[in-house]
Amino acid sequence: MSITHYLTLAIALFSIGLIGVVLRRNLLVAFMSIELMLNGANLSFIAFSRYLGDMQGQMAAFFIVILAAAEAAVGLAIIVLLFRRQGSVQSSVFQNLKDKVGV
Amino acid sequence: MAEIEQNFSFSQLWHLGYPTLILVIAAFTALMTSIMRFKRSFLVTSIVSALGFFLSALGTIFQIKAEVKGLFFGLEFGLYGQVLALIIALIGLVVVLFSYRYWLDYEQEGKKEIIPETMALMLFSAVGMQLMLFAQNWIIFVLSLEVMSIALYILVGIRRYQVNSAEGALKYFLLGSVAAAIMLMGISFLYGATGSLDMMSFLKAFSLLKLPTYSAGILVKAGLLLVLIGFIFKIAAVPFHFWAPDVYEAAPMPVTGFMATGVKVAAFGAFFRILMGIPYISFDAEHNRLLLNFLGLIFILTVVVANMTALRQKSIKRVLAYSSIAHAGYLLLGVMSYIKHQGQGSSHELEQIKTMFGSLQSILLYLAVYSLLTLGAFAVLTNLSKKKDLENIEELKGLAGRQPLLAAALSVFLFALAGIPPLGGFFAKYYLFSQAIATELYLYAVIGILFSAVSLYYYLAPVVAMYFMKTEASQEQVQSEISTPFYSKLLIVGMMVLVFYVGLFPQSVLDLF
Repeated sequence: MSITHYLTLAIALFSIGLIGVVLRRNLLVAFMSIELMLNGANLSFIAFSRYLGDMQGQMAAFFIVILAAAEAAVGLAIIVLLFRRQGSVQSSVFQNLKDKVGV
Repeated sequence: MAEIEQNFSFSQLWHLGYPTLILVIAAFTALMTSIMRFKRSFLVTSIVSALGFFLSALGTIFQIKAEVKGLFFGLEFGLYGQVLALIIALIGLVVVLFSYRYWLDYEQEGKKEIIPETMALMLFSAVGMQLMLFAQNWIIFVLSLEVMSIALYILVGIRRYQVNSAEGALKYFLLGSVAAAIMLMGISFLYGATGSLDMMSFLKAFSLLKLPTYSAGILVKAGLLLVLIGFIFKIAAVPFHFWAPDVYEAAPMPVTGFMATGVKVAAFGAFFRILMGIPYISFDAEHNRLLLNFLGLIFILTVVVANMTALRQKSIKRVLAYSSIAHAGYLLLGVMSYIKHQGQGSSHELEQIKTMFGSLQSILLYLAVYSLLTLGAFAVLTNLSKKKDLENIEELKGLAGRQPLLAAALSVFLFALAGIPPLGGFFAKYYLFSQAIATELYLYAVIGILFSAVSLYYYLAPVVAMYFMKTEASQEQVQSEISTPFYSKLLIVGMMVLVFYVGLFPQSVLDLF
C-alpha cells in the first residue's frame, strides 16, 4: 500500500462529505457529512505522518478529533433547538432568513 | 524542530502572553459569576468582562511599549500581532459597555431568556481571536479559529426562543464547520508536501512548485487553493460570503457588531500574517502573478457583488453586512499592493522596504478605522433596539427629531464608512488606494474607487430616512428609544470625536503604528 491509496481514500471521504453537506436535506445527515470531511482530513494527516516519519501529523489528528467533538456538542444542541421550535430537521423548513429586497 | 526542545515554563508564557491569559482568567471568572445567578449577578459578570478586556488592552499597550517579543510553542509574539490584539481587546471592551443595557432589558422582561453567559462567551471568542493572530503553527491556528467560532455559534443563537436566531446559528455552524474542514484538508496537503506544520509551509509550498524535479504539483496546488478558500470563507469575501448577511441578521445586535469587527480583524490579520512572509521567500514572478490574479479576481467579485446587492436591501443589518463584505474587498486590495512590491525589481531595496511598510501600515490603519466605524454604527443601533432588534431602515424615519444625538452619530459613522472627507474613513480609504496606485494596480484601484462611490447610495439611505422623512412613531417605538443611558451616550460621542480626529490629523494616528 503506497501513500496514494491512503490519499485516495482520504480524498474520497472528504468529497463524499462535501457532496453530502451540499445535497442532503436532513440536518443530521449534513452534520454527519461534516464529520466525514474532518475524518478525511484526519486520514490524510496520518498517512502523511507515516510517510514522512514525522510525529506532528499524528498529533494534528488527535487535535482534530477533539475539535470534532467540540463541534458535535454545539452543533447537536443547535439542531435539537431547531427541532423543538419547528418540529422538523429538514433544511427546507428553515428559510426565514433571506434578502428582503425593496426598491 | 527547535520548538520541541523548548521547556515549558509558565513564567515565560506569562511574560509573553499575559494580555491573552488575562482574558482567559476573566472568561472563567465571568462564567462562574454568571452561573451562580445571585442578585445582580449580571452586573458583576459585565464588570468582570469589561475589566478583563480593559486590563488585556492595557497589558498589550505595555507589551508594545516594552517591545516584548518571542516564540513559545508555536505562538509567535510580536508587534504585528500585538497591535491587532489590542484592537480586538478594545472592540470587546466597547461591545461590553454598550451592550450591557441591551441584555439587561431582556432579563427584566422576565423571559428567562437572558443568558448571562454571553459575556463569558464573548471573552472566550476574543481569546480565540487573539491566539489566531499569534499562531505560528497550523494546529494552534485551527484550534484558536475553532475557539473563536464555536463561541460565536452559540452567541448567534443565544436568543433561543426566536426561530430566526436558531436558524442563523445553524447556518453559521454548518458553513463555518465546512470551511474549517476544507481548511484542514488543505493544511494536511501542505503538511504532506512540505513536511512541516509551520504556517510558513504555505509559502514554502509556493517555492516548491518551481523545482523542476518536484512531482507532487497537484497536491501543493490543491492544498494552497483549499487553504485560501477557507480564509475567504472566514473573511466573508465573495463567492463565499452568502452566510454573512443571514447570520448578521439573526444575531442579536451587539453580537452582530462584535462579529462584524472582531472576526474580520482576526481572520484578516491571520490571513495577512501568512502572506507577510512573501518577501523573505524566494518567489518567482510567475507564482507571484498567479497569487495576485487570484486575489484580484476575488477583489473584483467582492467589491462588485457586495456593493450592488447592498443597494436593494431593506434591513439595516443586512446593509451593514454587505458593507462589511465590501470592506473585506478593499482590504484585499491592500494585501495585493503588498504582494506586488515583491514582484517589482529589487534595484531600490530601501525604497521597496519603505513602500512595503506603507502597505502594511495602510492595512492596519484600515482595519482599525473600519472597526471603529462599524462598532460605532452598531453602538447606536443597539441603543435603538430595546426589546426588539431594529430591522428595517424605515424604522429610522424621523429619528433626528426624536433622538438628535443618536441620529447625528449614526450619520457620522455611515458617512465615514462611505469615505467622505474629512472623516476618518476617507483617509483610511485614500491611503489604501494610494498604495495600490503606487504599485501600479491601476485597474483594481479604479474599480475600487468607482464602487466605493456606489456604496454612498446605501449608506445615505438611513441618513435620508432619519432626517428627511417624517412619520408618527408608535408609542412603543418612542418608549424603546427613550432610555439611552448616559455612559452609552458618552461612549458614542467619544467614538464620534475619534472619527473626526483620525480624519483631521491622520499623521498623528499613522505615527502610532
